[in-house]
Amino acid sequence: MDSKIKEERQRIFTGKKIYHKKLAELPFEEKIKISRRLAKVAKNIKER
Amino acid sequence: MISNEKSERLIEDYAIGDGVGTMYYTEPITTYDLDIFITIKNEGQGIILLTPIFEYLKNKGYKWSGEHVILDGYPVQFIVANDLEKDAIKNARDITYQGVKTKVMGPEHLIAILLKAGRGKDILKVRMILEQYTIDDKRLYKILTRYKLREKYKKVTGNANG
Repeated sequence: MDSKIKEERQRIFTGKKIYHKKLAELPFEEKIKISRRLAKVAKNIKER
Repeated sequence: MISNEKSERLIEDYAIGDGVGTMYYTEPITTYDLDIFITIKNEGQGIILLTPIFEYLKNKGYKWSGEHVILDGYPVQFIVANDLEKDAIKNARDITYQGVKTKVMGPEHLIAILLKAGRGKDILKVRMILEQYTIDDKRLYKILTRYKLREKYKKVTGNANG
């Protein structure tokens, strides 16, 4: 059972790494747009 | 805007750093402003005056919010570069953003600058660059050695070769 959990954790972790790397490959313009949206959301949450 | 300022000789050279600079090499991150590191022509004569730059921007109609100039709704901060940052500007990469040529600091210099700053959010950016971009190890170690940052690098990454 322990090894299955370990395996699953490894799968999720590796998947996350691939996901983050794919996002890192987005065009710079696209990243800026996403970042600005993230900042707006964060600002709204802070102001609540 | 910066290219115009450069051509009008207010700014000697510049490069994008910190959050937006990091994001060139990593996934998108939450950044509230754009930090532009600059070198000025008449530097070395005591106090560095940014007044001509601020006047220039004011005359061009740019609005201000605290220490930021607002460009396309994005707060931009000008930071006069220290020695490490000057080195980063000198070795910055030429990129194109929305059809305009600009400069972004290289990942190895960014790592060194972020390590030197050393806040939690800076260290997080260091880890992101290392994880998501292939850096030039030799170049990084050269910079870390020159600016005495190898110990800090070791602590942050646990890399014995730091």
